[in-house]
Parts: sequence; C-alpha cells; structure tokens
Amino acid sequence: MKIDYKFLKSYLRTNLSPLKIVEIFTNLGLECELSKDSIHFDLTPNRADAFSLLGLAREFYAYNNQEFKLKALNRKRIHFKDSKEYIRSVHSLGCQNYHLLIVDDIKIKKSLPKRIKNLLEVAGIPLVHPLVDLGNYVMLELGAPLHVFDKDKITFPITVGYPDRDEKVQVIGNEIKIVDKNTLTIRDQKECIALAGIIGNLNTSVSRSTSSIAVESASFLSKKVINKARSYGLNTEASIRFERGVDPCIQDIALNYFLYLLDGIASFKRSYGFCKSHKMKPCKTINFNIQRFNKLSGLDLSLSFAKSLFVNLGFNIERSNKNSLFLRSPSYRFDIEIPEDLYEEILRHYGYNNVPLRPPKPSNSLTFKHLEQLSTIKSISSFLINRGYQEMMHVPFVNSNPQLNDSSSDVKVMNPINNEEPLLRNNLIVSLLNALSNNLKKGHKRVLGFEAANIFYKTKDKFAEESHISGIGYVHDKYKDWSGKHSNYNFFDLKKDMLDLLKHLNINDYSAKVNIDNSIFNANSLSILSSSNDELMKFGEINQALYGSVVKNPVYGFQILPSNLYVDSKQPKQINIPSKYPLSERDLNFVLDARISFSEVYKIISSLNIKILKDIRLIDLFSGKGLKSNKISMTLRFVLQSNSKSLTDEEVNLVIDRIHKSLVTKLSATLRK
Amino acid sequence: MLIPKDLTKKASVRLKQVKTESDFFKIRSEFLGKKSVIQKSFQALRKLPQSEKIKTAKKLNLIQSDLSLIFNNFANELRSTVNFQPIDISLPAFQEYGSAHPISKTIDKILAYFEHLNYQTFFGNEIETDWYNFGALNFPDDHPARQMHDTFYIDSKSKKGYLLRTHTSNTQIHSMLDQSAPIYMLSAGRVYRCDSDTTHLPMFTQIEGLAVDKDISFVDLKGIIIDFLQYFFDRKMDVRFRPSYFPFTEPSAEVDIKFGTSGWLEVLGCGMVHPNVLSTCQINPKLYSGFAFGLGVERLAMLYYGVKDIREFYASNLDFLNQV
Repeated sequence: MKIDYKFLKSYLRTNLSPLKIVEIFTNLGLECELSKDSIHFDLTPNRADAFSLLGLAREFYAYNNQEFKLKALNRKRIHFKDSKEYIRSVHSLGCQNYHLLIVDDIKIKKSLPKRIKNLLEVAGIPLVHPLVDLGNYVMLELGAPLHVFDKDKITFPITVGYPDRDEKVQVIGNEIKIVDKNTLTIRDQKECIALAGIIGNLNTSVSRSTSSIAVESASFLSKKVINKARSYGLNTEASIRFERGVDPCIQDIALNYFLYLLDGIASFKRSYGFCKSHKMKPCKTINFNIQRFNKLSGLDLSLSFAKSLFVNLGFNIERSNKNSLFLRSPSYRFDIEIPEDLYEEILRHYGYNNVPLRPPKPSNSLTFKHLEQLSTIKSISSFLINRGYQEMMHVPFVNSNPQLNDSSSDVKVMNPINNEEPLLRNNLIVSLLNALSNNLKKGHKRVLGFEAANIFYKTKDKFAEESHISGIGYVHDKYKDWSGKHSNYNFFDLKKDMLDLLKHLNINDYSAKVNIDNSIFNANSLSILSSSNDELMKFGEINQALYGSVVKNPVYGFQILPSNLYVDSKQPKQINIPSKYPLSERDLNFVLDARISFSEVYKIISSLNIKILKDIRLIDLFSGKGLKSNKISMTLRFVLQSNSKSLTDEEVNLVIDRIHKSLVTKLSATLRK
Repeated sequence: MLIPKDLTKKASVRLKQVKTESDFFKIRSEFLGKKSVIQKSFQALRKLPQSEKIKTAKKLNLIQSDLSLIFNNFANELRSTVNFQPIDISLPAFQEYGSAHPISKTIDKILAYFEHLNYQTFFGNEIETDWYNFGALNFPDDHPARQMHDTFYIDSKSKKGYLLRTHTSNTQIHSMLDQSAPIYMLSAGRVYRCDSDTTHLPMFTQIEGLAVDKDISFVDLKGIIIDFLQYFFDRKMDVRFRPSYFPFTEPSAEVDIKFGTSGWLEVLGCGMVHPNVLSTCQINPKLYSGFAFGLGVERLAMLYYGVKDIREFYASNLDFLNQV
C-alpha cells in the first residue's frame, strides 16, 4: 500500500519528518519505506486492520498515547433494511453481511478534490469515474472495499452465493473469465454481476451515462476468497484486502461515509440502503495478566500502561482487577485471539528496542544425540578439503536422473520454477560433472570437487532422502607443473584418498568388491562394505554416458554414505604395542597369468595365516618386453617381524618358501630370475 | 705429571686450516686418537699415586670432552657445507588446494557460537509433510500466512501433502516431539521456495534455533541475538528489532542490522514460541516458554563476503570458490 506522504501527514495531523514517520511505523511493526513523495507500507498478513489510513492513524495516535477519532464516521444518514426485493439471499458460509447503498439521479457538480485524486494515483489506483474513484477513496481511508454498480443495469433482487454451473463473465478490464462453482459470486436475475471480493462484471459497471448507482460493501470471509483472485489471474485492491480480512462491522459506516462524501461533489434525489446479515460469533473475552506478561517479556510494566494503550487501540475493557484486564477486541482486530497476541501489542508500543537484554545462558542439558553425525560429515569434508578437493554446492533440481539399479524412482515437483527441471536429483555426481564442464570451459585443467547434501528418491509412494558426500577428480592431459610429479589423478590417487579416509574415520573392518551398479560408475569401480555389509562408499571411474565431450580424459568420482560411516566409526579401536625386534625384508618376483588380480595373490598369502608376516608390499608391476603377452610380473616385498624375538635367516626363509610354494601351486606362478 | 695446556686453543687454530674432510680426520686423530697427547696422558695416570690420580683424571676428562665438542661441532658444520645443494626456492609451490564452501564456513561459524552454549544440533528432512511444515506451526489451512511461502509441492498420491520444506522450522516440531523440555536446539539445512532473482534462489540455507525452558523471556531472545550478531561480524553492531508476524511465534520480530552504507538490512526472524505450537508438541505452555529464530545463511554470507548475487554461491565457479 503506497500512501502519498503529504496526504498522510495532514491526515495524521503531524509535523514530523517523513523519515521519523517511517521510523515510528516500522518500530510499530508496520514495515514501510520512503520513496520520493510517498511511503510504501508492506504489511504482514495479520495486520488487516492497518490496511487503511484510519488503521494507520489509530496506530500512530496510540503511539502518542491518544485515541484517533474520525467525527465524520458518526454521521448516519441512512439505515440499512432487510429487503427481499433487493437482496434475496446471502450465503452464510461465504459472507457475514452484505450492504447495498442505492443513490438515484446523481448529478456530479464538481470533480473530486485534487489531493484525493493524487492520493489514488500515488496508491496506483487509476482514476476511472468520479463515483468509482470516490468508492476507492473510501476503501483507502477506511479499509472497506466498495463496489459501485450502475443500478439501472442490475435486475434486482440479487443473491450472494455459489453458481450452479460454470459461467463466462467479461470482467472490468475486458478480460473474459470462466467462473466456476467454487467461486462466491453476486448474481442478479440475469447473470453473475461480480466475483465476490475480486472484481465486477463489465456489464454492470459505471459509465458516463450512469445516473443511479448501487454501492456494495460486504464482509466476505477471507477463507472463502483466499487464492481465488490468483486462480483467475487477478490481483485487485479488493481481493488483497478481503484475503487478509475486512472489518465485519464497517460496511454500514463505510457506505454512510461514501454518501457523506458524495454530497460534497454531487446532487442526488434519493438514497436508501438494504442489507442482509448473518449472526456473527462474538469475540471472546481475553484475560490480560500483567504478571504473566512481565514474566514472558522480562519487563516490569504496570497495568495502567497496558490499560491506556488498549483503550487507545480500541479495545473494550469489560472488567479488571489488580493484575488483570478482561478485554474484548474491536471488530477490526480479528487477529487478536490469545493473551500472547496482547503481549505483542504492549511490546510493540513499548518499543521492541526499548526492551533490555539478558546475557545468553547455556543449556544445562547433557545429551548430544545428533551432534556426532554432523561431526562425521564435517570430518569427511575437512579430510577432503585437505586432500585438495573444493567444496561445491548445487540447487537440487534436475531435468533427468540416471536410472539406478534398484526399484527407486524419481521425486517430481508439481510446480517447478523451471519446467525443464522438475525432478529432485537422486545423486550428487551429475551436478559435480556439470561443474566440471563449466570449469573446463573457463580454462581450468584440474578440477577436484565435492558436495555434501541430501539426495532424493521414491520407493512405492514413500519418499526417501539420504545424506551423501560425493566428489569428482579430473586432470586434463595438458595440465603440467614444472616438477612433473603433481599433474596426475587416476584411480589409485582416488583409492588412496578413500582408504585413507576410512582410516581417518577409524574404520578398519571393511571389505571391497567390484561395484556392479553401473548407473554412475563403470566397471572400474569399487564398493566398500562395512563388517555388517552396509555400503560405506563407492568410487571409481565415472560412466562416460554422464558427461559431455568437453571432458577428454576419464573422470573419477566417489559417493560416500556418511550415515553408515558414522555408525561404523564408533567402533572402539585397540592400539597394539609395536614389536621391539628387528624386521627382515625379502623380495620375490613372480610371473603370473595377467588375468590374476592382485587381490587373489593377496588373499592366498593371507590365508597362510603367517603370524610374523607384518606387511606385503607390491613394489613393481611389469608387463611387456621379455614377457609373454598374457603374463605379468609382480615383485612383492614381504616384511617379517616377530613380537617375541629376533628372527633367524632360517625362519625367514622357511616362511618365504611357504609363500612361494603356495603361489606356484594355486596360481601357477613362476619365480622370475 | 704434566697436564697438557692449551690443547683446545691449539685444536681450534688447526681446524681453521681444514679444507677437505680428510684434513679434518687427520687433525682429529692427532688430538683425540690413540697416539694423541690426551690419550698418552691417560695412560700415564697409572704411574701416579692414588690421591693425585683422581684429581688429574678429572682434569683430563674435562679437556677431552671440550676437545670432542669442538671436533663434533666442526664436523657438523663441515657436513652441511659440503653436502649443501642450492635449489631455486622461489619456484612455485604445488598449490592444489581445496577449500570449504563459503556457505559451509558461514554455517560452521554460526554453529560454533551455539555449541559453546551447549545447544544440540539436529538434522531435518527436506521433503516434509504439510503438517510439520505448516499445520503444527500454527499455519491454519487457507490462511494468508501460507501465501508468504511460495511452496514447492511434491507429486504424490498421499493425503499427507508432501512438499519441500519452506523453512527449517519443521525441525522445531520434530525435536519437541522427540524429547521433553528443556530443549536447546539448532538445525541447519536447505529450504526451498519458488523464487529466483539476484537475492533469491529456489533453494537456500537456514539455521533454526529453539530454546524451551522455564523462565525464558523476550529479554533472553534479544540478548542472544544481539550477542550472536556481534560475534558473527566481530564488532559492535547497530541492531534493530521490529515487530513482525510468523504464525508460530507470538510476539514475533524481525531483526535488522546496519551494515555499510545501505541502511537497515533484515537478517533474521524470531519470536517467542506460540503457545499453540508448544501445546501441539505436548509441552505445557503454562509451565514452559521459549524463543525461536531462523537465520538466512546466504544473507549473512553475502554481507560477510561482500557478495552481491546469491547465485554465485551455487555456480561452482572455482575462481569464485577458491578465494575462501
């Protein structure tokens, strides 16, 4: 709501500067901003009462410890009567009361005062016709939307209710709308003459030839009109107000005020009014207890401060005692329902910024239920950062998801902001691959990145979200540094990072198997399982179908499930005392069938269960010159050490011999000389 | 017996002439070897009477240890000169660094403040039912307050009304239903609204705080918020509380800070927990009261890092990200 500053100033009868006025209203909770010659109010949905000059004045006066009264509102020229000839029925669930003011044979003598025209224009309400403009002015001043019909275009009686069928209506502004059965409408004997609380039918609108008018003022229930205007692609001054709620007792006053103002610019022959009202639920009495208020606010205010404020805001004090006021809210304050609402009124007018502070106090609680899961994620993140991965974040809306091998399916947003991206992502890798392409296009040659976020999927009709930490690593061919050592990133760089991470997280008991879900990774990937067979992570070469041609070399990536890691990392770990005795090393160079994997060799040696074998290191791997094409040479270094004595050469040789024989028999290995 | 004099002085003088390692070893054996003066003196001790033997041995030992020290120091120095290989230490380092995302850094900084106050950190789900996101937070159906949140709805046949949470306030409900008062909790996470421009994204990050206990009042809320903001920006701040409206708090406030030359800027919303919310979560509002607040992490990060366009945070541009 934009109000001309000069008009507001004279309405409030104040000499304060615009900045000061803005400050006062803002501190009262009526957010506003000064722009050029006007003040723009952006009111919260609960403050329907302040959506008018009258409402603003009430607040401003109460702030100055006064009560605002508009004398003109007390002049009552006409009384509204129930007449079936004019208003046949009003739907009780949609409208609390419906008032019609009828004025015949109007002759306009002068135009509206310039200051009022200016006020309307600043408010963004176009000047249409003096009678309509006048109605709009009353709306701005009192907060009651009025609709002015050309009386001679209406076939009385009218009804307020829901139509039996869809109906085409050409509304003011010429657009044609199909009005459905769920829209509260006002109908005469021929057609729908208005969409309640939104807009009127063009057929019954005021024109230059209009001489008699019927002015509507009603109390449509906010619940029944909310989102209606939007569903018709409309947003009118009336609909904004009715959606928040309009004072259900102002209709009679507003129409009398309209007539009073009309008298100032026009002559007319007859004026009379009709209404149909439903019984309203009376406001309940609320007990305002000053002690309770002081406890919740931390202040020490007196009951008399509260009392005068409530009077100035229009509350009715029904009775009181030493500590309490029993209050009934005015009809325009339907937002006030409970004592806490009253506490806010007191605090607003006392000034939030005048409330003192108390230093923060720590919680005495001793439980740290969820902290550890967060710290696992933090721990993984900082590990990755230290390994050179850049943390990234992405908005999770995507066009499509890779189809995972299980029965899960996509989660779809019904009203996406971009129709191209209606799905929530089921993995983080794809966003990271986009980030990779974008950074390669910018000239980066080495991109290591990760993201920690939730992924989403659906199983049957259940939604699931899972915390993931995923990352990618990519180094372009042309990336070189002067040492030649730091320009690589391959599967084994990634493997090192991942296995080191497990160690960092105190996870020592795990197994690795080849990953068979090739939706994200190809077959050059591993899946790491916990001792209880839960997947802890997957990593390896990313399926090339997921990235575009800007990426030349293989991309490696990982997908970590921190919630499973969190459980496993809690296992206690024992530290053993290292042996004091010297260690012996022996190297063996085998030739094997190239299809035999290192893990098979490793498994066979481990199965010998040699206690003094402390470590097996692969120190060379070779194929090519001097070997048959289906053969591979593997040099293993065996580290032997006893916990109880120095090993003799004989003992060492015995062990090495066992290993040798076992590889020869089980893998047909030959020793290379 | 004659105690050899000036041996250490002599050794120092001789060492000055050393040019190669072999020079050094030669001189060392002259002074400390089997045929050296000092060794010969030790051998001569045998001939001395017992009382003098002890006295002289002490003196000889001192001289020998001084000599050893001189030769050892010289040897170390010699090794470091002989073996030193100069390299160009101005060659560039291998800067293959990663860094935390500025939003993560901001979250960590915020959480750190509240962890000192022993607040528990919770996680919340991002796909939420209507009840946790709105109903339990005192948003009635068809209430204008719901229009404040442009909600993304999830395609589902369920009557529960799945949506993407529009705020982290859903975690208030989960934590209050999970445990009994007193509660001091914090929850950071992503939230979603159908909105997109330079200062809004369809996804952003919030941090929810909630304290429910006996005797919690508005002065506590003000105290913690102002203290927190001064901690965050590491300076005394102009902070303004102004009345506002959230269905789940009463009284409600929005908090503005003065930052740079741009006047008042809104940084968070807060208030005293609405008694309906407490009752819904089986906490007696007559015994307990509480405050809650919701911080916009991107807003704080934009101010802190001087970023004008919120979209930069999510564009994964390495040139942007690796500055922090």
